[in-house]
Amino acid sequence: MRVNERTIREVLRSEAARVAPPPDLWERIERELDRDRMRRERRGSRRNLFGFQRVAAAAFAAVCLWFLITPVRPILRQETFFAGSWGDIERTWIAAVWPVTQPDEGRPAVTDLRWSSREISLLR
Amino acid sequence: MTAIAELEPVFDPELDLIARCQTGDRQAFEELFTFYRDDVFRFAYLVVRDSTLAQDVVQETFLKVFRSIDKFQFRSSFKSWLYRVAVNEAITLLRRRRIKEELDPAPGTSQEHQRDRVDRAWQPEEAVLDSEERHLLHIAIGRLDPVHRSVIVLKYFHEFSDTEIAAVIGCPPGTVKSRLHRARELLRHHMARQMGRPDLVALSYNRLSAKTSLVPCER
Repeated sequence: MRVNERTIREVLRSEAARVAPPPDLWERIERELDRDRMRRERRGSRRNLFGFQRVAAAAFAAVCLWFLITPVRPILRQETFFAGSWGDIERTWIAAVWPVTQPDEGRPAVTDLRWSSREISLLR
Repeated sequence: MTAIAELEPVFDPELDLIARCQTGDRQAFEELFTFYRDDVFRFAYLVVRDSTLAQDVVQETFLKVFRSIDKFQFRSSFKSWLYRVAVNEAITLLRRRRIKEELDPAPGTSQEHQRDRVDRAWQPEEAVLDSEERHLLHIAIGRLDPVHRSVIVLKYFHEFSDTEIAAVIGCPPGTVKSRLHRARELLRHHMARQMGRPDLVALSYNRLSAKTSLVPCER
């Protein structure tokens, strides 16, 4: 028994002739493509928002840090680091940012960069 | 001296449409879709044998094509690529439906029932006019696995060449020939079973098993 190729063609064609694609197939595809586009836009805006959030969070943290440091400023000013140590540089830096016009009583002002005799003798 | 005519680039409207699709031109994609819609739908229907499933196959195929059209590098023809996606989608959706039916078998939804439903719907006028052979062939095509059915449909309905089929299913043309041969043998086998001809069943079984004896079994 041979399977006639012509018969296979005719059977397939008669089967295919019974059906047609629905008219709204393109609308369905378009809806999915629109959904894709909205998803992409949402993802993009989320990325930008995240960038803005980063900046806003960093600014907020900086402001909080400022308010945390502010009460400590006088303490920092008064702090006496080990003479000749690198810590003194911090004092100078802080004094440069927050200049003190009046020296604390009994102590040289941090802006007073004259070395004491002790410091000089240490250097020697 | 004969003037040599300057060769002008040939304008291929399909390539132009694809290039426009790659820039996100929705209208170009709609034109491409309209051009291929009917053929792809009929291919999907002949492979999955269910109109609703065929619509899903077509929808998923074109969505996949449009989503990845910017990666299309014109190394193969667009038609081969489109049908390759359609074949894969048809096989995937059929597999998914089979798994779903195995996990949750509802009466009247198995592939067997689906085939019978298609067969019964096909019978009324055509069965009167057509020969028994066509009817049996129709059933036998339904009994093929999706891969062999795809090859049969591409060859005998869409009239693809062996080279084009090879580009679609991603194998050498020699493999296409052997798949077609095997598909025809399977059709013969199913038809013989339908006809209740054990001798022909044995003959086709022998061929399918690649045994040397071609003599039909005695009744």
